[in-house]
Amino acid sequence: MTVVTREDNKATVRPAGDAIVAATIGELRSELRAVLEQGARELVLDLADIRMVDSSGLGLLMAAHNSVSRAGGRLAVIHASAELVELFQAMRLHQHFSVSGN
Amino acid sequence: MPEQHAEMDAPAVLVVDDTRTSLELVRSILVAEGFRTLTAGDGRTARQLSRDEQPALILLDVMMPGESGFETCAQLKSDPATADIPIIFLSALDDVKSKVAGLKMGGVDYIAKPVDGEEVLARVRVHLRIRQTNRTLVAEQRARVGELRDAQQAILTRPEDCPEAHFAVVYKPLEEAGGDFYDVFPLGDGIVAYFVADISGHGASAAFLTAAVKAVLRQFAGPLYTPEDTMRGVNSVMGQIVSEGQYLTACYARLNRERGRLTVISAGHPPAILVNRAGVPVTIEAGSDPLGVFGKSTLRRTDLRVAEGDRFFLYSDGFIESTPGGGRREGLERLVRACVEHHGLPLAESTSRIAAELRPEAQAAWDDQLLLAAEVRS
Repeated sequence: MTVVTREDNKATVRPAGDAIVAATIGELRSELRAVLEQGARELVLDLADIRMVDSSGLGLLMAAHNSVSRAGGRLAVIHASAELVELFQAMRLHQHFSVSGN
Repeated sequence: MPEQHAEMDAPAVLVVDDTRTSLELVRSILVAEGFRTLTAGDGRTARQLSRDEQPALILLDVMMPGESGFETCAQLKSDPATADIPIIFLSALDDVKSKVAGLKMGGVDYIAKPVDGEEVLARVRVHLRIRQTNRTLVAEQRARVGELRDAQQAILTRPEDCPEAHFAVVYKPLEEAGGDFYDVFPLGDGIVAYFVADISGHGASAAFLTAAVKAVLRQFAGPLYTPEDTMRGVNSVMGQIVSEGQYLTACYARLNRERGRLTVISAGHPPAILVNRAGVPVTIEAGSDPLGVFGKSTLRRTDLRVAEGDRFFLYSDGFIESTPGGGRREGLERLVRACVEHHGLPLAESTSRIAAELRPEAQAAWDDQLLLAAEVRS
């Protein structure tokens, strides 16, 4: 179950499971959409348990970044594993939104 | 549906009953209407006949000594050779519990004994009709999927279509068509473009977009455009076409044979690899943003000197990942080693070997796989 914590206009979303991949991405997508609609401007994605992110997962992150930026806010990814940080950096995503490790 | 005639290719119905008289009764009902029939007096014979003769339908008595009809059904359903043959149970047990048990077992219908001739015929016809429809649907689906594969193959350049490019390619989509794409074409004046792209996801929706990528690429490539212009064009147009959450990565290499210059722009894509004629590898890090997602994308290019006999490799991440998004560093090291190891072989052969080594057939894949290799030759 995705865990969402809200505090004023900041929302921290922690996805369920250990993978953000095409097969299971529906719930996370809905949650992100919901918090954005509810007016979150600081969107924090906690990837503490996440081991795998496929291209659908990356696409969702990019879409979340675009949506929250358009609304004047920003996305931050926290607790990413070393391998995921490397992946984000390889794709230059860290130049668009903040990425931090454990 | 036309009446069944007793022809050699007419579907056969297998009747299974341990009681001779019951067996004969059902058989004669079917034969009178022109059905071809097979008979068996026990479960074992029934299974044997089913495997060998592939009847279109089985009428199966439930109460049989030794192997019961339910047991026979279970066995038939667990054997791939007979699992798809529809089974109608025949039974004196008329209670709901028995019927439900039979249907749960995998039977498609249940006829109470003593059988009524008209009812048997009506139910047999219904199920034969359903079976026919299913087979038609499966055949149509197979054809459609084959069309998708052929359509994608048609837009991919084969090495023999562009001999001046001196390239070889291995492409294994995960499904019939994939989200990986490549294009190789001359730009004039001895300049050749090599392009590899990976649309996020795989399957039909990603495959569909590869045709758009080809069109945009061809439009924005050419002597009038710098490599950055080309990628910017792809970024801009694809950004308007892809759905939310969809993007592509790409690596674009432009080889100027006359000048001995290779220009590479890699947009969110794993690094291109150069192995010179002496077998020394270079990983070409040219990091730019993925395409189709950011309005203003940063593009950085790398220019290298190349000479006759040098080879370079473009590929998709499906080739180097060991889990979704993972194992890239090790995968890249393995790929570089393989490119160097097989450097002495002719280009096509070395490319197949590298591909086989990195992605053995037996290994399960979750992504499309693409490896494109080219050699600098005048």
